[in-house]
Amino acid sequence: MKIASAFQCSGWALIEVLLTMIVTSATLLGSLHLLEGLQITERAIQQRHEAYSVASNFKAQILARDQNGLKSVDFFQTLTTDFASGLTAGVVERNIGLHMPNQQYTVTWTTTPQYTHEGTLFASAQSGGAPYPLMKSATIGVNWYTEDGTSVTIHTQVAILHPLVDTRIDKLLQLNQIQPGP
Amino acid sequence: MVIKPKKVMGGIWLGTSVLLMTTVISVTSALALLIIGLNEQGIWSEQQETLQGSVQLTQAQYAARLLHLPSWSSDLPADLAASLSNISHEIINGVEVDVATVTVKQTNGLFSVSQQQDIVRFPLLLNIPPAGLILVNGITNGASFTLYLPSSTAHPVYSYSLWANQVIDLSQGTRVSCDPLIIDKTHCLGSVLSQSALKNTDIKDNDSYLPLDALDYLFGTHIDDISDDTLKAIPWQITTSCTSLDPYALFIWVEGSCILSDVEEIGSPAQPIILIIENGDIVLKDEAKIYGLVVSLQKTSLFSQQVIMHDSSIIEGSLILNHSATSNSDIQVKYDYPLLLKLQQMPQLQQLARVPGSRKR
Repeated sequence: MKIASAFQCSGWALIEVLLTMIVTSATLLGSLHLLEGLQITERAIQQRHEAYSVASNFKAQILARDQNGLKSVDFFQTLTTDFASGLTAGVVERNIGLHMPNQQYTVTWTTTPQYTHEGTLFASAQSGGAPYPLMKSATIGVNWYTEDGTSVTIHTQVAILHPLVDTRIDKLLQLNQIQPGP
Repeated sequence: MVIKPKKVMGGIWLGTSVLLMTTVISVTSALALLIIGLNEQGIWSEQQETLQGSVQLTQAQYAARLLHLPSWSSDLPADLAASLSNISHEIINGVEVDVATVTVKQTNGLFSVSQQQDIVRFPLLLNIPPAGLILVNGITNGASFTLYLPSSTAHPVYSYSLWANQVIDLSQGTRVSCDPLIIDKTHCLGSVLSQSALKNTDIKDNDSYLPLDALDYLFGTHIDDISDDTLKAIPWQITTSCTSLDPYALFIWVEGSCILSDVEEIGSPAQPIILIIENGDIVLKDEAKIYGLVVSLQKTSLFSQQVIMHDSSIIEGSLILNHSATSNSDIQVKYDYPLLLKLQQMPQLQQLARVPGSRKR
């Protein structure tokens, strides 16, 4: 059996330590890089998720303003592209996390009035059909800029009904209720 | 075999570093999986929301398309027929209403969203006037009226020519009610119900049950808590005179006077109308006719509205005045319950409501 000298043993140990450090460092750096990448992706998705939340909030506001029977008729009539009574398009700022600057979102919407005649939808009033739209579909767009300056827009849809198509149910109880006295 | 201490040290270093690497890789992988999982969850919820938006849109489209359809049980477009279930035709206080369940189901990849909602369609005209002439604010001395109440077109419960919340003096002017078969003043005088000192049961006056607001009574505007001006959003035509009326419009609001020339007609027995005359006169010349419900609405008390109907001209249906008219007014109305019932049931004059608590996902 060959017995290694103390010098030879010491050299091998140093190489082992060196290799260990290189591999460990590479692993650590790789992991950090991966985590950084994931963090960027997570922030981008967080921004996107928040954009949907902004859109959802606008959608809820639109729907809430359209559910008061004929009292909502003003809102229904004024809901046009980027304008509605009591609701404005524009920039919305959201805080999307600790140590992150507030994110700005630009909210816009386009509306499409829909008229009906004999059970079919039309983009304009038809002869013999109701002269006003019975529903409006709105496409809400939320735009923002990512960390690398890319412009991103997400869209969501909402439909609002003319108050005659979403009238107050308590009117049903008034049918032929008012009659002459005894 | 002899193992040198330095080799032992090397082994410890190697072991430690492998353990460290394993730990780092495990922690990193766990974090990565957590972040990926959270992001996936976010993306899925976005897709779900997009699908829900699409379902809400389709449901709204179905409701809008159903509003004015003559029948929900036959001749429906295929997609509407497939989405409607539990269709029934109910009678509430003598009024026909349609009830149905609308189901919309959409699938996108892994996701599927289904929504169900019960809806009910009922008339815009909530109350059918029980008398030919309804006076919400009395009538001026000197103003005349001739009210026809033929038994063939009478209300099934009430036999009233006139309904008023104030006492109506029949000796002022020419005020007569009758039930002739032929609509003619001479025939009317041959079958008088009430006249001058003879006030019969067909004159329902001094009745506190008559609502003070004609539009509340007809359309339930008090339930919506809206002004009369807001109601102007629902007529099919808003105009300033009766000269060029849309033949398809069954609900017309005139901001001004409505003057019909000889033989001119608005509405028809097959297609009666709701006509609101705001701050204007109603003048029907010889043999002119209006079929349906006419409301003479005074919104400015300074303006006196006259209702002058020449010989052989008539309103078939009912007339409501919320003002006392002018002393030279001469009103002629033939009460026609079947016509008013038809008016109430016209598909174009319906409204639709969602049944609370019926929404299912």
